[in-house]
Amino acid sequence: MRRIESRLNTQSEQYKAQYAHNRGLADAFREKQRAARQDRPQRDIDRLRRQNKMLTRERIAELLDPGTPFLELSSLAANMAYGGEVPGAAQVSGIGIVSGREVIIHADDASVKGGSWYPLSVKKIVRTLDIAIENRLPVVHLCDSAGGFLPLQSQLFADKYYAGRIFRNQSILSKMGVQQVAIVLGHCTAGGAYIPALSDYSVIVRGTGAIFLGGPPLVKAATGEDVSVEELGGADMHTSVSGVSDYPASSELHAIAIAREIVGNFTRPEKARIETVDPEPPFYDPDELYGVLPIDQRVQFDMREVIARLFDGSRFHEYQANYGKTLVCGYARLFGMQVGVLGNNGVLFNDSALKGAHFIELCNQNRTPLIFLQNITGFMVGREYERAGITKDGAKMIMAVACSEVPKLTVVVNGSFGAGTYGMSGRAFDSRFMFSWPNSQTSVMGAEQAAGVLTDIKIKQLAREGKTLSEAEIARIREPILADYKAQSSSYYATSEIWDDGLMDPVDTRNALGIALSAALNTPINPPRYGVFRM
Amino acid sequence: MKHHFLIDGERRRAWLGYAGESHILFDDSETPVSIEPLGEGRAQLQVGANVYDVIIAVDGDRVFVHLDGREYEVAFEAATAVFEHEGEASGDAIARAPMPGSVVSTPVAAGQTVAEGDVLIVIESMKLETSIAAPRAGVVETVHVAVGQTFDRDAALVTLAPLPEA
Repeated sequence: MRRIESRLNTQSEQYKAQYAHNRGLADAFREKQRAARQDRPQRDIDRLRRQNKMLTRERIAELLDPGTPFLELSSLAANMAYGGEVPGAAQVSGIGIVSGREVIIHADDASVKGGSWYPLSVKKIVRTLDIAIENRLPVVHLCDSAGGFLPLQSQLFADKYYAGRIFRNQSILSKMGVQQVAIVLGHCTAGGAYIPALSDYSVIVRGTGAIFLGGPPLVKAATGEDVSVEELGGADMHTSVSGVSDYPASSELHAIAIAREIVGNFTRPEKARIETVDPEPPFYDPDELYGVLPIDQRVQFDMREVIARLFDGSRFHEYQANYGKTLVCGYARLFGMQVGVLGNNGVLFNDSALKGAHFIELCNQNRTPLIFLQNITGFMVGREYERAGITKDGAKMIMAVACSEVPKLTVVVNGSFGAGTYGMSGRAFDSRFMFSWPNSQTSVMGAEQAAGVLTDIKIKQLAREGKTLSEAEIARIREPILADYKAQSSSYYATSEIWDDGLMDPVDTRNALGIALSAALNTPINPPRYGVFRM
Repeated sequence: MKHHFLIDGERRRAWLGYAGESHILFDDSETPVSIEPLGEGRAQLQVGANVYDVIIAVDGDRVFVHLDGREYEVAFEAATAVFEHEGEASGDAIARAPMPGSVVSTPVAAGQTVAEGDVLIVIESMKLETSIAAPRAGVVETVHVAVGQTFDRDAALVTLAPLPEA
């Protein structure tokens, strides 16, 4: 496979300026991530220490095999919600290695609001379990939650993808034969009680762990019965009397050691067979990605420069290099695993959409997983393109993406706008994993255009009331609209709302995709089947 | 979580990780290690830049390693066993009736300190006498029943409180 010849001039002023800008964005992201992981009010840390509890990340560190990678997902979930007071949505989730097995971890973070489930916490847990279902990953639950956050219960309780979905997903996992271990490290009350109950194995820590449908105060109020936590739902009662839990543990470390032994008994899955060769690092340094990305998001760059810094040996077998040039398609290797790559080099025209659909079909026939690198402003508009059936060709690409049976991974490299988001396997299209770079933006159209449209509507409204506006008045209407729109298009907003599986420093993306693809291969790849392509 | 080893009676935590074709020893630091067997228990061990000739003998669960003119005894300890007794003093424990019956004797009284395995109460059920032992060390908080008294299955018989902190 041929090596891409990079045209990047790392000595140019433009490269240096872009490098500094994007390196700055990555540093800012890392600082935000550090704060979301580590910064907690001292009184919350003191409270956990008094209870003999470890912090969530200390528990995870003990659970994992030493020296193995942990791919944390959605580390900045809820960063723009709830006044920024619920870092990570009070949850830690990620893929790691426990006793030599790939597992996904769902952990309540009791150092944030006692581990209360906010609406985005529930969304994050449900997404974690969706990932487990889609990629057949065993789950380790670290349960330490005060329960649903009552003031917002209407946004987390009853709807299809709200808290009930957690327990539905656990049941489906069990039906599929994907095993789950729960470690009860705090009180699992009401709905939370079902997490250990629906796990195949549950370990409970004596003294701090407890499981009950109603805690002692609720029992007192309901029936007048006075009962202690230990008697009502403690480790000894549940492991010797009720059978709700399986293993009593004398400390958190003991519980983690038991869980590690349990996972060590799981049969390792057979990975779906795809074409593989010996891995090699990229020829071009991934660090140069900072200098590839533009400062102004609207400035075009060659996606091949990104491909050259993500894949093995910077090698790329390009498919149809002369046709539909705004969509770069071809084969590359990620840690030796063959993948099909689709990356945007401009707006999608009829030919680029057809090429994309065709390439997706080829990869499905060849059992080659797909990686989408998004920098897309949308499908082309205008009379000529409508007459040529741009919508019809876009529909073909969307059909191919939606029905693809090989695993898909998506990276939002820069822009992700309009129907282009759909064609490039956006969130709704079940990519197994989706990561975004800090500079990226996602919205139905670009911020400037959208603010223009919204401002025009406002001006026409006022015109109907007989008012005409000065330039300054128009600017006063436009500026807040633009600011709002920009905030909601930012990668931080997208990841806050869990539209992706996390922001990613560009230089970490290769490793993240490698772990993600390895996990994705736990699920057998079915032969391709599609709906009707509009011809 | 690292593995636990007893080396000449001293507990050490370590883990062997893979790095491509070689191995890395994780203890307090990270060191590349490799071992080349030379047959008959002899091997060449490389730890970082240092190379040692070692002799390894296995006797059941015990491993003897001769290294640098000294012999070491190494035993692997399961983490579940190492942590089993940690933090045991926390929380109450309740000895419950495994079946309905009556009380034969109550050898302990409230306030008494008991060790793990001490008999807390003797019961009779289905013409069989059964001793209920303390699941762990603690202080007897309450003996819920008296000699001759009958009880149902799962009835609380004796409650143990944690040992007072030293």
